[in-house]
Amino acid sequence: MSEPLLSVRDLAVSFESEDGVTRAVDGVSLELAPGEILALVGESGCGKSVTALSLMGLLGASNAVTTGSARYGDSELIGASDDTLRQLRGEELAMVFQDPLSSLNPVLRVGDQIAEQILAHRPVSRAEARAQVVSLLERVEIPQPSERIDSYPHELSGGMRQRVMIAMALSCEPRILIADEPTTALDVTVQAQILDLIRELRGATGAGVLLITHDFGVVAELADRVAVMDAGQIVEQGTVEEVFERPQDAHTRRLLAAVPRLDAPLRRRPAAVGGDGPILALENLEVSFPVRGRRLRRGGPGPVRAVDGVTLSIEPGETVGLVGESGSGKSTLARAAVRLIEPTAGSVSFAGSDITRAKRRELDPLRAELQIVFQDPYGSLNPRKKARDIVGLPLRCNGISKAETARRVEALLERVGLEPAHADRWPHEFSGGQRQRIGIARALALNPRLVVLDEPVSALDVSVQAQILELLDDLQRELGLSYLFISHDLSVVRQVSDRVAVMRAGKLVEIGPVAELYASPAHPYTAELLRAVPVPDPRRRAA
Amino acid sequence: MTGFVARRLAQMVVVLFAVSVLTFLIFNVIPNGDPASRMAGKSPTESQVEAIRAEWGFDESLPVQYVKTMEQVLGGSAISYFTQLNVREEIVRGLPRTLSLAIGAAILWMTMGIALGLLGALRAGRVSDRLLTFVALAGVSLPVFWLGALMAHYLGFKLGWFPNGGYVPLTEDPLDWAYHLVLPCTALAILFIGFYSRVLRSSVLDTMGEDFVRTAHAKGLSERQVLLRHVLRNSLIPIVTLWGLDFGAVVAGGAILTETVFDLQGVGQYAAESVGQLDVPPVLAVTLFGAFFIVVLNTIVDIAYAALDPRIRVT
Repeated sequence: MSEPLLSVRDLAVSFESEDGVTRAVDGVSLELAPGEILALVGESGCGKSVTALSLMGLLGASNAVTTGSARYGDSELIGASDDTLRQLRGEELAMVFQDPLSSLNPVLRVGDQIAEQILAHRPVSRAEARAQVVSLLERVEIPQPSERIDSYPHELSGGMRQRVMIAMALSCEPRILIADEPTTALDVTVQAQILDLIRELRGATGAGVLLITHDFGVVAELADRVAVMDAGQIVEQGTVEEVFERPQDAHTRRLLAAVPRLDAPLRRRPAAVGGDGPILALENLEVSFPVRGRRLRRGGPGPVRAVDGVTLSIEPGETVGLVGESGSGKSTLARAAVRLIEPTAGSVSFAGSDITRAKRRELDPLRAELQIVFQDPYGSLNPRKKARDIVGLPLRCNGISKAETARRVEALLERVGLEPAHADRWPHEFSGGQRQRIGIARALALNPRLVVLDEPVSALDVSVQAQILELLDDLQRELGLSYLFISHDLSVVRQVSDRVAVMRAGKLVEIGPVAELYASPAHPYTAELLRAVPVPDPRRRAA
Repeated sequence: MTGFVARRLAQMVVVLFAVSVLTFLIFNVIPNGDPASRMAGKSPTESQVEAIRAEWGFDESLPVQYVKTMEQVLGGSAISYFTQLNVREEIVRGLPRTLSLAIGAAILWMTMGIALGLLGALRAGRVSDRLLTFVALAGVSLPVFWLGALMAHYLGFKLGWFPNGGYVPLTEDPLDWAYHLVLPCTALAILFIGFYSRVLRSSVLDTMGEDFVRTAHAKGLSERQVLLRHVLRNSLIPIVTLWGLDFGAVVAGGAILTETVFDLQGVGQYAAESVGQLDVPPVLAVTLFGAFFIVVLNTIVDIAYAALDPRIRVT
């Protein structure tokens, strides 16, 4: 192995607060060689991002204490002065962050934001910097770079924004690129493009890449070596083949086993479909939103059709998976199906009766049977209410006595794998997975027949995700529930669904039984989606 | 943009109509509001009052009176019931004084408010920040009639450093004009400086926690570049909102106390005196002028938003 670019020894970061000291990073040692991609992988809170930020001196918290050593060439990064770090940042070490929208300044043009970095490190004129920006944008494959240079971040798509971030990171030809979850906020097809780009740039520049991710698929696609982190420590380190094929550590094995795979055998038993006709039937459903403020202009764009003529039915006891990229209309469809928003045209029937135009009073009794679980377990629970009240509210609203509600809440909490004693806790005292269990308990409180699950596991770590999926499966079998399972993750949908529907730009492009759809997709878009999914197997890496 | 301005103009007509009707009605239902009996002087005869009523049209129905008064106000021919002076001329005389005061104070409070707010955010939690907080709260709490009177008395009357009230037109002597405005502008601005620096401080602290500020640091920019290019501009929106409301209110007669303490004889002082006499035409005129100015200013503020933040479109 050649001389390492970066060598980290016994790095430790702790945060001091009134409640004591939290050790976020606890004795991390690693080395990064030129031209190498090292993946630092682990679940949320394991300390991987803190490790990356501490190398750049970007922790930003005044209560953080960093010890240990990180040597880059002749410079020691840990404890270096602000001036030293400022010269290294952007010039020698560059960073790409997770969310390109919030990581770009919304009020400055993207070209200026890149040029700013060049001007901070190179003795060039504004015009020269601008010319360099155009060629950088070209290099990260942004079409029409000389026009895009004057765009604002909100005028670009998510993938383009991340390309801008990468162009920015590359602008001074850094020796080390730190990429913190660079594709997590992106759609799967865009993710594939960005991963290609990083791989290609590593080859062209010879920079070392420290890739921080929770996604083993991404690791397998891209990394040369892997370091697995858990609770602030590196539990296993090795080449990507070693770690995937012969994981030594129990934690690594657990993580790998929890990863949903497109090539895993289908475990799902065929649905026990009942005979009374579909529980939910959508007929040519259409939801449009008016485009605000354009009313006066003639010939402008009409209303946006978020859902555009979707016909879909769910049988009792069946799980229909709905996949699609962001903006394809999945969540709008979910909300219209439970009448949280009003359909513009078409019809929604629940258990045989048309509820498209049902009045509130007619709808209320049906609400009990038609429930929804939302994506974000942090945002969808009221932070000022205890678990008991969150789960109990639907019962109280339906006239159930206080004592009976208390009894049922405890039973429900046990049903979703929590303790009755958890009833008196506040939402912030629960982990993400526990919060999602509370959301599920709330949905189950009124014994529904259909539950719409809108990205129920996308905010969760893989190991927690696996537990929640198992819980949903158990509940379905015991209670005979039907699910509409919405996700952007094709592997998860494959694992849970009987039938799968693929949405794109508001339209249903394909629907079919899970085995057929994944084995031989009929629509080219489905095939494209499937090809883009990173496979958690380094031997099957795309060439 | 044209559509935006047209809609705002239409809104303004509605606002002005509502404001004028309300003002007119209020002054007609106030007890002792009958202008004829007060205009007739001490112990008038019934026939004298009747004569005044007929002459000024107070015997007609309220809607007719409203329309007639509004015609005069908008046409510029309205005269005060009591001084018999033309209302428009009085406002035109007072406006430069009020505008000088408002603009001078606004420049002072914006620059000082932004500077102190930034300083407080940069020193957040330290002794200097606590000191700034204390000073800001003191500034907000000092009533302008008290502070202004103290300044006028000590700095003006006793020490003689500044003129003791009054106004010199800009066209006559620009230096003397500015000299006369120093005390009133400072007295008026102190309240706003305290308030604006607090708002900016918290807005800057919020912005400093944003991801794009971390990106700016990761680029290797200096602290100063990060602060001015990335933090400050994103923190200005709440300040601009406040400024639109406050500046409008000051020009529209909100600086009554300052104007009175320093005897500037501006629009605010004129309005205050007219209200005291229940003198409907000048009150109507000043109120309408104020409402007009506030609507115009808010339109400008909305356009300024779009300039500050490209995600906002004026529609």
